[in-house]
Amino acid sequence: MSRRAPDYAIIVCVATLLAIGLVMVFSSSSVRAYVDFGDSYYFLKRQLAWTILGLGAMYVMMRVDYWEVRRHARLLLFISLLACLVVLIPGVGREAGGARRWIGFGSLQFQPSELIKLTIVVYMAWALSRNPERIRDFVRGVLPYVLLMGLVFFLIVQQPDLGTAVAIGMTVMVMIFLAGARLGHLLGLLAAGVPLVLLLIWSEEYRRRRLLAFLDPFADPHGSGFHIIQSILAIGSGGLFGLGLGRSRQKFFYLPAEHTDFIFAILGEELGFIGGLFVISLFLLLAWRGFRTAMAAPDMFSSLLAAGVTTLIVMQALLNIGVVSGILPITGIPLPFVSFGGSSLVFTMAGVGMLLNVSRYCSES
Amino acid sequence: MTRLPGIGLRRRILFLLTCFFVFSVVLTGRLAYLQFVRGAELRERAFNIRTHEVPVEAKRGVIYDRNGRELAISVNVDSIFAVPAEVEDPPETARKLADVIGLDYEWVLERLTQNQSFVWVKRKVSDEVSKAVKLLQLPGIGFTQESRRVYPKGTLAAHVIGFAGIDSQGLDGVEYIYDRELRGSPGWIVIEYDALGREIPQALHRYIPPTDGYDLYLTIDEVVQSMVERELDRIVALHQPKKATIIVMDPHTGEILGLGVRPTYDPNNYADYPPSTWRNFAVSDTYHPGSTFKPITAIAAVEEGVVDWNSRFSCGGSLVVEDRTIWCHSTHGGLDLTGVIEKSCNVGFMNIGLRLGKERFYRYYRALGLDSLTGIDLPGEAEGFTIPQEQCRKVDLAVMSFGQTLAVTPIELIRAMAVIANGGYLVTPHVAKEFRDKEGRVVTVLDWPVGPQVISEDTAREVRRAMEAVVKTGTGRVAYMPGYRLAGKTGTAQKTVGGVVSADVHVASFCGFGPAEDPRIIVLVVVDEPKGSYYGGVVAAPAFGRLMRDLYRYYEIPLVYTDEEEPRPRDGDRDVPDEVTVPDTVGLPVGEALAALREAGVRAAVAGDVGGEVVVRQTPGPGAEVPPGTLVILEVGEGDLGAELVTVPSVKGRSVADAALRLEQAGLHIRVEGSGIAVAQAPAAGAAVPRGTTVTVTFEPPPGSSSDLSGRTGP
Ligand SMILES: [Zn+2]
Repeated sequence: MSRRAPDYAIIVCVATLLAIGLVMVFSSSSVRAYVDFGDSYYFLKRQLAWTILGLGAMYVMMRVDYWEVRRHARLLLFISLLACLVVLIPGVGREAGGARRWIGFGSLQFQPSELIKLTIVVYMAWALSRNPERIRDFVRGVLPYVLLMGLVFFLIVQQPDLGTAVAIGMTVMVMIFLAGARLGHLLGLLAAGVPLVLLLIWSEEYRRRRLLAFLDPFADPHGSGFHIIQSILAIGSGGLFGLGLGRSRQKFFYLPAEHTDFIFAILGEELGFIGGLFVISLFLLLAWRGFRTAMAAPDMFSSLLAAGVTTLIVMQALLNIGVVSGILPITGIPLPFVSFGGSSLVFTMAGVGMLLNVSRYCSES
Repeated sequence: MTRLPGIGLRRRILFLLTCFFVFSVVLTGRLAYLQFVRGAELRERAFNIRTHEVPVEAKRGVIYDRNGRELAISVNVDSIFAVPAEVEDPPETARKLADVIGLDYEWVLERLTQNQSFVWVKRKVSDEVSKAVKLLQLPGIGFTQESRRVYPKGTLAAHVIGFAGIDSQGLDGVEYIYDRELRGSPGWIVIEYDALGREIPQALHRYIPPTDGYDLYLTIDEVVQSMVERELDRIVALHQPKKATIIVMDPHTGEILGLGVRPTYDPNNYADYPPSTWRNFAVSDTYHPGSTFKPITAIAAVEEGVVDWNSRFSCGGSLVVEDRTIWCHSTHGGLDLTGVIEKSCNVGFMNIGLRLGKERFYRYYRALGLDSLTGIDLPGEAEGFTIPQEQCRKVDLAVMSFGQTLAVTPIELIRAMAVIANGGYLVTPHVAKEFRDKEGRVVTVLDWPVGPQVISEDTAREVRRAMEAVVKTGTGRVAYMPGYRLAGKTGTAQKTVGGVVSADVHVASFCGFGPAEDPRIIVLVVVDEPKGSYYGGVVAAPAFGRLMRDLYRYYEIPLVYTDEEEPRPRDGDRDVPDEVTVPDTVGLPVGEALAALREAGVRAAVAGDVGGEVVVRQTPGPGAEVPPGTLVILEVGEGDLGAELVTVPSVKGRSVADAALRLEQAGLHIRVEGSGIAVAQAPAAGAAVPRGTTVTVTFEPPPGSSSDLSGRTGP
């Protein structure tokens, strides 16, 4: 098959987001970095290293024969599941902030949940494209994947990392939908799943309060509503053009996780509506180019892979902005390319690499 | 085997893209809502969460005396506040604060746990307390500088200056009257904190600077005020009065140069004194002027022409008016008008008052402002009062003519007497001169109107001459000092206690001015309910005399001796059978001084520093000719025993005023001969002579000038 140049629009899009990410990570984290580590550049240096590593991963994944990757889809998923299990073992998984999410040695740590985000997309693309007709059969074509999703969801929630679990669950469901599952089956799953999710939320007092805080954050401004209020105050302070780069006031410890999950709030405060709209547009552009790649892909696997990666990235972005702007409950999802965080960045970049890889085999039409 | 993605997949991808697009639009709309619709509100809210407003007091204006000496200043002190939300351990913090500042633990804890963004813990603390609290480094506890009022001169002029409260708000005196000008307007510092309670670097937002108050320059002269305070202290020590006041005023402008009141208080700790001590007797209370009112009856009568200086009066010791017999304090026999004033003859004044009549008496009473506010710029001014005109019977008029039944405030009386001193004008007594800003530029010069001329220049001068006689040979003799040309009037009034005139309770007063020819200073001394001796001539006149002597020296008013006042009487010039000369005892040990006075035939009383050994001042002064048995008050202090002899300075080439001042400073008196520039003096310069010796200086007009430079030489 003839290879073409990769989709430059995607590269430009991702490069721009990475640049914004570096700037915003520095701007939002410099105060905390200085106070906690005595070095304003502490987080910037690390993010820069991860970006370089991510670019490497992207390049590799763009170059390799991704059909080779397909052949190892099951192995990759198995390793990922194993990692997700291992991280739960006390003493092996490293704990931070009440969650056990990292494994590794010394400073080389990674999150298995970020790995499995990508490998499950690869696995689903492989599985769903193997026998496209089987998807019409609920028991043999849909249920196994729903159960797999349930297992992954369960494992990740144990860390706990509800945000990643939700992102994975939704991506898997989207891929099942794209692969051609009957709408009736999907609606049935929805009818069964929603009460289940509600039960899950209701079962834990803290989770219920935290999840529902977004409905009326000012009811408990110092407790469950605190994050959302500080985030909304930051965004609201921005106005049309923002306070200017580096001028955020809310980053002075008012806004928690200001350089990770809530970085978009600082961006909204410093760069205003214009900055926020620009970032949303970039993700929308990425969605368009990614889905275009999927539609022009040479085969079903490539198509599902491209669509899955695109969905994974854009879905996380929209969920993140939805949380930060206070219209979705807090789940803890990073903003792809922009939020500080190594594993997320590297695996997302690897995904982008595969997306670009696919784009090189797209038909002209 | 793979298959090409079907049309269904494409459609579903497009559907998904649409979903993403729609959700992006929703998110954009949400951003727009937060940033545009609610932007201002959220920004304000965020700002308020991050910031705390700390008030910045304006610097209260300084109060100066007329020569720029500080009477009230503001010093910066720390005030301690708390931001309760940021106090980490309220009980522990409260315990430490209560300990260091000396407050009640419960009270502090209650403050620290209040649901407010800002509470005061303790305002205007001392440096030591502030430092100690700073050392504790308590989170949520902050400091701001405030100014605290300090009155460096303590009780000096307390009733003029008044005091300001904890918020630097004027509460009394000029602090109250001119509060608006002195206060300025406060500012705010809005400090932005991070969530951990630290100031955000370079985040001092919205500094609204305070506008400092203006500095107030008073007409009060600290030196004169000190003399007033000194005399009041002496009056209190000698006579233990219920209250007393002394006012020193410029009769031409109404400028108050000194005003003191007893009992007094220290404005630095005003709250430690009973509020009754804050009361300003000089303007807020009325008293019976007694005989000090008599010159007012006299000017009305002279001005109206009902009597003249040749009129004769006869005093048989009493006068029957309507059906009442009113007594004079003596049987004076035949007197002219000057004699009536000089001897303070009640019968004479009753006759004058009756001749004047009710209408004209009340007209002058009102014209001289004795029933109306003077408009002085001090709080709480009262009005004088008397029997309403329509109820005034003949007997009332007769009694009022010598100053009974009337009640006036001290400030009203001194203003009325100033009319005599200044040639007929009703001035507005006042203590404030001008406002200046912090750079010293004059902002406002207060305009104090000089009222209409209520009596003629001639009448005023003639009454002054009669009043000079009062001091020289009449009831005010105690205050007489040769060369000073003092004029005045004593007053001794019985007080009404419970509606009954009491024989035991009196108000002693003296009002006088000098020099009589062209008065520059007017002084009123009022002593309410002195113990023991209660005559104005004994209780109030000595203070007047001492004040005048010091004031003459301070203002360099030259002493002008008439020939008859020559301290060394020339043989045959005068007939002085019943007067003795007061010897000079200044600088002598107390024992010697008492012996010298006894030898001279006068009585002596000692006042001043306990343990003082040397006479530092005497009243009447050396050389005064007084009736035998007159009381001479000696002030003792730690003087230099070897200072009885002084060296005569050279005054050659100097003007009269200059020469007088130099000799005064050397402790010598001057006798002026001629006018112009000093050409000769005796004793000669360099001679060692006893303190108080009179030096005769001969003046001649300078070449090319025919004018009389001194203008105040005697006849
Ligand atoms: Zn008489």
